[in-house]
Amino acid sequence: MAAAALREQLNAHIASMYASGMVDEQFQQLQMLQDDGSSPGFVAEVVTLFCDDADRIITELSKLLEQPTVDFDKVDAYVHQLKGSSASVGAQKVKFTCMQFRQLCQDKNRDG
Amino acid sequence: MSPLEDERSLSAAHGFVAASLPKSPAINPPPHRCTAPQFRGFIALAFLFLESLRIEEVLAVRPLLKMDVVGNKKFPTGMRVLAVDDDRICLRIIQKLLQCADYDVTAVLEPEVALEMLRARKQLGNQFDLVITDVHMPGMDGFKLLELITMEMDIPVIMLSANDEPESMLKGITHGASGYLVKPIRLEQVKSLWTHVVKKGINGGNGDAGQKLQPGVADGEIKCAKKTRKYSKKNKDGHGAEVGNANTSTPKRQRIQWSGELHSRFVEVVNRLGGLDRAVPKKILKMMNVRGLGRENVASHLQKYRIYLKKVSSGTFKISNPFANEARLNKWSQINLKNGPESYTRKPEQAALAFYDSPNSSSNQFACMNSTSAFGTRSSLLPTESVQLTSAKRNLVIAENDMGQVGQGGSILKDAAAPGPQPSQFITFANSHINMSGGSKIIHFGPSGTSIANSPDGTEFINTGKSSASAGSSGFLLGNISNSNPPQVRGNGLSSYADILLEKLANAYRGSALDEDDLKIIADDDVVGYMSLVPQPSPELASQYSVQILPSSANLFDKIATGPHQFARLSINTNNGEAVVPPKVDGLGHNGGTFEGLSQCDYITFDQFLERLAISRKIPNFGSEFQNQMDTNMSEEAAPMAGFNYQPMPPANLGSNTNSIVAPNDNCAAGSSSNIIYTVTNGEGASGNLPVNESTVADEPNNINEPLVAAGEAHEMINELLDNDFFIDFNDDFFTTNNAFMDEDLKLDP
Repeated sequence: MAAAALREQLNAHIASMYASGMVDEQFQQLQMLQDDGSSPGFVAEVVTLFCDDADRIITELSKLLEQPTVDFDKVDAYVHQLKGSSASVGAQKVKFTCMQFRQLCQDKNRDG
Repeated sequence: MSPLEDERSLSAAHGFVAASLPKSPAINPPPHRCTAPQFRGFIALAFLFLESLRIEEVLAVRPLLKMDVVGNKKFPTGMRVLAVDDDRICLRIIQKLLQCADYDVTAVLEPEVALEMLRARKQLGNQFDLVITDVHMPGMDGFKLLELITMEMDIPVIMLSANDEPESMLKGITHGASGYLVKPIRLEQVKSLWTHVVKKGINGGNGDAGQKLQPGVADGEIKCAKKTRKYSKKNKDGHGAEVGNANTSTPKRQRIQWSGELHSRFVEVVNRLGGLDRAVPKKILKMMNVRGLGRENVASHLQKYRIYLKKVSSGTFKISNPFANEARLNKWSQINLKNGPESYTRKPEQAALAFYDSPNSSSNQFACMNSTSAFGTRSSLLPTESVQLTSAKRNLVIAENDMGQVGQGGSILKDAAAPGPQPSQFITFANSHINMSGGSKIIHFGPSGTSIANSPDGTEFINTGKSSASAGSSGFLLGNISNSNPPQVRGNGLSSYADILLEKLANAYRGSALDEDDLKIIADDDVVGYMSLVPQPSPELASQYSVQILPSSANLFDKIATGPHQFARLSINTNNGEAVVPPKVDGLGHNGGTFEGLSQCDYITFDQFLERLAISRKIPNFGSEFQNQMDTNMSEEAAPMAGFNYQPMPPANLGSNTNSIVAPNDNCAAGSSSNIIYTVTNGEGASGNLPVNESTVADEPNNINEPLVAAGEAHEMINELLDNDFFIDFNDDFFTTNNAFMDEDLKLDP
């Protein structure tokens, strides 16, 4: 039925995320936490939070980067924060990107 | 709450016992636990004993106890964890993880909030078991938070970070973290967190032992008080620590003058750290954050402090003034007690009596001046030293009532408030009302017999003055003289104002004294007995403050007082005729002094009192208005408890307690007029305002002679009655050696 189909779709999506490296085992942790029974909407809640926060951080980052002289320390701080969040959520790709980002910040490489 | 937590929240011995009773006998009971109800009395005693132990140590084992205690759930179930992270996603996740591990989680975004919570819980005794905190946080750095927590509360802290660099980890550990986890955290990691708690509990008690005892070393020479030097209260820098000209090299320590403020800071820090047992010079030094203060200074100071407390707790201390002519402001208040009656009589200006209140975690040193020492008075309320007595709660309170008589009625109140059988010794001076519970010993000096001691059992009431009776009611407040030895009335003809008061109070309270609950509350608050500060009985003494300032000493006092010391001088009217009198009870208007009355029926603990005292650095002044006030308005029905209520800052807010009688401030010419005003709170009903009777205050600077006579008697009595071990030792250690109280010469500037 509709619910089952929806669930199928969801699972497929998740699988693809795993496959593509979007999401890592941490996400499984979250799912497991949810399955513990106490909070059914846990994953959704966290992911939503993550998306909101990440969005905010990215906006900040782009603002910072657009400035003539980039304050890399601030950028680094934001990226660190984003990295933490993504790691907690299991957003693997984001995390890796952050790590690269931070490396570039260390190098003060704006263009990278 | 788990049963164990319930237990913890019970402060009363009975409660504790009660809570423990239903527990399974398999529990390894702490000494105080008893399974038989009929041993509650014992338990109470044991509780007292227990209190002398470090409760934290006992409780530190609670997680283990939990295993047995908590129903069918085993530890670490319900372990209280505080999670701090500015990233709400991480916070949410960590919260969830902790919940899944069956912990009791509190999640906080800001580290400041977390710190507040920790501190608040510390007061309540419901402290967290573990703290998990992120490293990178805006505002307070995670490491800083870590340091503060480990210093103040000594609970394990786990660092959390997305940063997996070893340097960061090392930094965490060196700052005192119990562990460092890298995000993302897995459930397995969370599940093993409780081991940190247990580990800490096992080691926590011993951890500081090695560092605790520092060789008490003299930091410098302190000229003995015996030398007639002026005590100069130098104004130090903001922290009050003066770095002497000694170099900072190790062999020669800097001379640090432990000003009242510095000491009170020291005391506060010590208490924050969890008491004398837990405070380590290094930590103290760090927390005090005083420029120029060296670790050795702190160490030696700590050592002295400990010794001092031990002495205080071990018995009454001699009211003798080792510093014959010197007013010594020192942290121990002003203990210008020196053995020897002769010194006492000869130098009435000495003899500051200190109040010591010693709950386990914090004790207040409340020095009340003996009438004989103007100085004492002044200094007594100085820096609120929190004297933490390692012994069970014992409050040694020496209240000197304003009788202007030298040596009038000192009350040494020892631990009044605890519901348990805490030994209390009250030395009340004239018109003190002591509220005590448990065995107490009241030594009352002075004509006014208004010592009201509530000590149902084993109260020794020694009234060396004309004691009117504490109506031996069974009321709490009103002293039960029935249990005590019949007062030795040695009236000296002072007006029996106090007597009248006492009688009235007795009548008022007979049968309607504070009930147990009130007392309990008071006790729980570590409120030591209240002293009623009754104004001098005799009108001619109106101008004199309770601290009798003899003419000879008055001068000295003045000199002392005029020094830039931080304590307001007692207004010595004798010399300058200035009357500083808080005109009214309510609202406490008073000149210059800050005085706060008790808020409605608020009894502050002695800790608070002393803290406030320290902060305000005021000394109590008793003014003549007391007398006037008392004569006229004082509603004697007011609660016999006269409490000192101090609030740290001016303006004096007498608070709702209409019965507060504020001692006049002393605005001595010398100027420093931070006066501590004693509020005599007479419970309800005292509508009396203290009429500021400036004229009376101003007048008659020369009535001092009269009290002298009385003082003499009192002196003898005091000396006889009091056990002077304390000061004997003090003399040896403190007064003769350089480090008695200060690490530097004390000089009073004239």
